[in-house]
Amino acid sequence: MAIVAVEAAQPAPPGPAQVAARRGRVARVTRWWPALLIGIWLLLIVFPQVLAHQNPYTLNPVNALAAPGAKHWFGTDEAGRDVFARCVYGIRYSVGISIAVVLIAAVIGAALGGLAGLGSKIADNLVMRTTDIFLAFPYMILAIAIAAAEGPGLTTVLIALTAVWWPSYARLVRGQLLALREQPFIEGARAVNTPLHRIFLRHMLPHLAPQLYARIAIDIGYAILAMTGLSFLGLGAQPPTPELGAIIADARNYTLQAWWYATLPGLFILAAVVSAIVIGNRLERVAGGSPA
Amino acid sequence: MTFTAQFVARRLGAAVLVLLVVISGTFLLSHAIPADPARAAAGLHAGQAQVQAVAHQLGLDQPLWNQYLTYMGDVLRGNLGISYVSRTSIEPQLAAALPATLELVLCSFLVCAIFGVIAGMAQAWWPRKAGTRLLRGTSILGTALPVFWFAIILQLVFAARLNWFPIEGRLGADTLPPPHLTGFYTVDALLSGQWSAFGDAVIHLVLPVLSLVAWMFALTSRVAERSFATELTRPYVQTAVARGVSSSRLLWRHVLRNALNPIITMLGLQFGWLLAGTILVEVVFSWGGLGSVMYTALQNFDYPMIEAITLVITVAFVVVNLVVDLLYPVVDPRIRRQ
Repeated sequence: MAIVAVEAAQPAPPGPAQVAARRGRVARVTRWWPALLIGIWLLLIVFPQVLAHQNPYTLNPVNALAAPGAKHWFGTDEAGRDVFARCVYGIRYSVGISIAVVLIAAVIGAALGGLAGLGSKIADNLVMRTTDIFLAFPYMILAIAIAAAEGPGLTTVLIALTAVWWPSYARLVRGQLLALREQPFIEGARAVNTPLHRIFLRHMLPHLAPQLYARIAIDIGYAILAMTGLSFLGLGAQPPTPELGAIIADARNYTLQAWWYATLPGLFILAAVVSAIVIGNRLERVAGGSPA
Repeated sequence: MTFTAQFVARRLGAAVLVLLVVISGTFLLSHAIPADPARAAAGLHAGQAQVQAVAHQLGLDQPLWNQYLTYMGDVLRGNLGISYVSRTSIEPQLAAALPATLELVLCSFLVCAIFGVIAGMAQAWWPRKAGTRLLRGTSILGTALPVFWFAIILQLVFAARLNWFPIEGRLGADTLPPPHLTGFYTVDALLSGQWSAFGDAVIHLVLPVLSLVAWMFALTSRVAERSFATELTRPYVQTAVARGVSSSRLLWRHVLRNALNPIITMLGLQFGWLLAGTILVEVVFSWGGLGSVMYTALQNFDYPMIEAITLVITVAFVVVNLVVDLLYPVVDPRIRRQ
């Protein structure tokens, strides 16, 4: 009797249903923060003035290379411009162009991969051998060579990175299509004479989409690294455009006098890349069907 | 013909084809895409007549097809052209810079491969330990680091502030380079018995190598971890455990060889990425290798130099991947028997 009373007095251990409910609550919260992250970055791309209250182009030579403080959170550069404002406005170029690169590459890659996976044998060979050529180069060196040949500029970087990024998407899509093609529902669609492009767009792409989204998110992170790297080498944004890689390149002459100038802008790159990878991993897990 | 001979012949043939296409690609990039290569060669202040003279001298006024054949013939004979800036042959300049880059890349590669594989093994063996999670997290942070920025941070903290390591270059100002044998300062110093020069060269390598390793480490360890984790679920592992094989023997003697294939593939790709990524690191540390030469060429629109370096790095990449292909049957007898 006494034992029963003691047991009743103690709080019941959480049963499996309660644990699941608590996990569900946590999952509901964590499910939204990737969307929140995306929202924050898009907001900064479209409205940098929300976070940066100073003009990134205003020169103030009197206040050159000032240390970080209440007025200038990241200090000022050699021309007295506010480094924090330049970084926030730089997101527009560094992250914005990287997003464009990966999206364009994904569309081109998906189209050509679709052609290779569903079209004739000749088309397949043509596309696949072309991707072989691109993949024979280390991607960064190819991007540098293309960008150098075209002459420096933001458009150049966009073209160069898109050129090195599409082949991996073509391969991914083609491989998936070859596997999907044997599925009964595709055979069914074929049997009723659905046009090939319709099969591709309506029946196959939705199957690939979750994986593609995850890949796109992670690739945006790597594209940011490549993009800022090209700018660091002087191939991307030209002065006075505030682009994160270019800011760090400018800062290299002042690293010893002004530690903040080269180091703090990198935090923005790091944050952007980590966000992209985290979002990509989350999408990957969702696509994989495992519990969040 | 035996299977192995066939295999080798097929891979060699494919590699030669890829190389021919790569050379054509660098031709397009140096001759066909730039709007006005002769203008770049003559310099910004040259007059029209001067530009035409330079174009004629460099053969840039010839039809593209002719230029292509000349370029192809030159490259196949090992003649990479003439730099627009120094107006001298490119090969000696590259030959001087190549050992510096290779020394840096090989060191980073070895550190990354050895520690990456060990880390991957440990992560697969203890998947839920706190240490594993910490290692996984920090190494993923490493892939997200812009390599040039991390190099600057290392330079600021460990060279400028703490003064533990030299700030840039391959040797200190008061150290004479060891006699030229391989061009690798560490190896040359050892071969000629100059211990202080060896120490100096090693200490100069630390920060650049660390920047490159931070960038590549997560990839190595993750691929290794996945490969080991897959192998650990196989029945032979259970058999070995049941027979009482010690865990270190199990991992190093049984699992490692089976898990090696995907790791080797990835290491081959990584070597190429390191060769390209080293450009960014060399710029920061004024290393004086291919990357530094590339940077100068980029500033001056020196197209032949840019494409020559692109070609050298890509050829190295193709060769390394060929070696990797040829290694598969050596490492894995299952491939030999197919």
